[in-house]
Amino acid sequence: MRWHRIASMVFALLVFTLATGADEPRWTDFRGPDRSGVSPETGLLDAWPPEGPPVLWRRTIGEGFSGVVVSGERFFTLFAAEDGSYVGAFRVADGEEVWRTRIAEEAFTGDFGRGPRATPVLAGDVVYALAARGGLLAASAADGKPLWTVDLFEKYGFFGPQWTLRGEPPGTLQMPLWGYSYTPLVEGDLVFVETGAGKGRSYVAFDRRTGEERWTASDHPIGYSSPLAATLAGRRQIVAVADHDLLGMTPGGDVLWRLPWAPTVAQVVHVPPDRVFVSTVALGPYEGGAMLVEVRAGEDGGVRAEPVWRSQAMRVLWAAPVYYQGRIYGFDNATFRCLRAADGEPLWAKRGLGKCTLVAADGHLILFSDQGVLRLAEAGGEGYVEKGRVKLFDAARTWTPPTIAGGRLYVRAGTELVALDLRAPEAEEGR
Amino acid sequence: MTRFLLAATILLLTVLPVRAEDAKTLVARAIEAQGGREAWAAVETLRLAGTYSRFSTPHPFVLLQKRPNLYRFEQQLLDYPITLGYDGEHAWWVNTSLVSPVPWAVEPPPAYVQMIEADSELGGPLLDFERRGHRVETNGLVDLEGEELWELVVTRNNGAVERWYLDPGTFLPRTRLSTGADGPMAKPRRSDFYDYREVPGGVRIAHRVEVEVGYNFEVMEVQEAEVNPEIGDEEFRMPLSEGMERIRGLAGRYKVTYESRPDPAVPIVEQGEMEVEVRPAYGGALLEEELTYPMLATPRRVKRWRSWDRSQEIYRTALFDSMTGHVDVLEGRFEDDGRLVVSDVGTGTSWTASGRTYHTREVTYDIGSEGFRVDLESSFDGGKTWAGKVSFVYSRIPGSP
Repeated sequence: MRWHRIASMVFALLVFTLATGADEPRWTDFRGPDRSGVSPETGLLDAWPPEGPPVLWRRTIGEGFSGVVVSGERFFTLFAAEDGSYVGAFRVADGEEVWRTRIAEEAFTGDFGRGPRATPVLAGDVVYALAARGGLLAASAADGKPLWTVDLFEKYGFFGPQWTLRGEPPGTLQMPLWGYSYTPLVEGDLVFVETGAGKGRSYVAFDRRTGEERWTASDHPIGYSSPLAATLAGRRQIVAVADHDLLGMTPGGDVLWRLPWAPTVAQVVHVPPDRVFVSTVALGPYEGGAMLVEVRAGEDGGVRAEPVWRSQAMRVLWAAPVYYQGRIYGFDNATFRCLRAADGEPLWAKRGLGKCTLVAADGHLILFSDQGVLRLAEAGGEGYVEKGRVKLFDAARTWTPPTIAGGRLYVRAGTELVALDLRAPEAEEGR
Repeated sequence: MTRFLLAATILLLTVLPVRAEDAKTLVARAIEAQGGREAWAAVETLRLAGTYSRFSTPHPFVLLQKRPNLYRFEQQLLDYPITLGYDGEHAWWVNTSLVSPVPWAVEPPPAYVQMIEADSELGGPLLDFERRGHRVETNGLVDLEGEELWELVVTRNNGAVERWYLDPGTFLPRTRLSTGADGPMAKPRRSDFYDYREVPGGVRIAHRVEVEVGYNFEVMEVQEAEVNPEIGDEEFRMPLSEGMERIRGLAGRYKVTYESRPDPAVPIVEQGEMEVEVRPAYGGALLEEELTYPMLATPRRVKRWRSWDRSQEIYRTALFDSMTGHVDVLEGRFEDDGRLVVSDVGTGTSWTASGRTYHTREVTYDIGSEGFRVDLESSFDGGKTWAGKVSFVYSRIPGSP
């Protein structure tokens, strides 16, 4: 009897392991599976040689700012080709292309360049991809076969008085100035997008298996911040910036709480268990700043949100900060700052790095500057301590956040993609 | 109590001059660190070139400066060329990056004017600060985001306050906190200076300058530095439209004689002399003047604005007459014989009284460096014939620009 019980448990564990691919490298979403920018991986280099971590491979790819997501032996990203925007699957081992599927026949071109902005999202065996002109595609991760597609621009349109491409008259159907730049959120059975279409359709949720519209909500103009899914005060929520509001919604689209805020590009950051951090840059009449919000269960069964602190010490433009080991690291425009998450106290600042995207892993921060410089810095110290630096690209506008999966670091600069080996030799030997 | 007040007074008198002296010493050290007063005194013009990055995108830039404060900065924002300029009196820009682009030179919003003026001083405000009318004080060593730096508080001659921070080891300027512009708004601006290098002439110049204002982050990287290249004043003047360029020379101070003759057949009925200044406004996009002369023994003041319509490629003169309160708009072009002829025939702004319509024609001719002539003529037959006339002779007052 006991043997049977043990055998059952072992079998169940095996099935679970196979089903989840627990040992597989996984970085399945924009800034990681939970959109935190924090990797759980360990055994990574704690200092870099002068030439940087070993380059595993380097390849060219179509234009775009899309990040890389990884599952098992494949990685996925979006790019532009001559005849449109694509999602593609590539081999982790050597960067070779496995398949590509077109999302849109025409690639978006804006002031900052051509190509997709969003990062694909992997959920189960499906990859979800949003092109910057509004094409939303669900495709089989195995072979790229399209499962369903919706053109957000055609179906919902966008009638913005602001944030539109130059020369388009107000009141007409307009492409958002910076394109559809956020990464859609896959939450439960839904794919959640922002259309900015107004008339109760600025947010739309689709059935992630069929692409059927499940619900629509809100009237706000389009933004560029990727939404976040988190469990706050015991309730699963979608947290997003809707123009002048920071809000928490149920996955069914009901607004649980709302706080006044300013238009924001950077993604909201979850500060577990029940807090979120939001920051925006001084833009036009807005002073910019940061706010930590605590979400609590209300006595009436509802949910309340209250600012814990506000600060002018971090005014983030586009690169979402990371919350790591009790601290918030991010770029106050072009100044790298570390704040204590509990009270917002600025702990240190470092200038001269440019503007960087960042991820945290294994006690370190990896910063990727807008001029193609990659840096390794210690996390948790009294100040900025650099432990490695390499100029990876002779390129500008390198705004794509790095990806860490399976000891590899994926870094993209527009049309170039590099995989670096972050594994410490001793960790490699142990594998 | 008396003893305490006396001690406090002595202390105050002792401390204040020391603080003032310290500021002067710090400024002297900063100038010395940048090559010294003599080396800077020999710099008449400066040309810097390299890359200027905005929105993470580098583009070439050229910065021209000429003593004391002539300034021209050519840069690019993404695909949009931008030129900022200062001719010593007026700031201007050509900014094609605006949502509604203006591809010609105009006066920028006030926040930009202030920023351009502040940036225009060759060598910066610390150099010859007393002669320039600036005041400099120091708060000693202060902590600026974890770094201990000498702080200088510069109150410019226009009242604007900037804070300059010097490296405690080298005394080179490290950071400046001032006021910049973001769109139409004035915003705090931080400039950080790195990578000082000696250039020909012995002065040391920061070869990397990072500027933050609002959400903008701009990085200037100097790749070429040329001291005392030949740069004419015209480089700093606001570029005018083709039309205004042609009549730019009308600006100046004049002795103006006039004579009026309501009908060619009758003798001159009025004549006199006055002094008139033709002033360029909006950087020369408009010429304005005011004339005072009698008409039929009644004092009369006439204000004249001359401009060029880029879209229709015509000159337009607006005449305001204090006697009638009427603004007449005249339009026209240069004739082949060099006369600028504008009239209100067809503009719908002519004066009507007692059942008659008085059309007006203005002819500007004999334009030269010494002056020019203007005839104001009237027509009562819709512009078929021009009769009554007031003739003005503008003679430039010697020394007038």
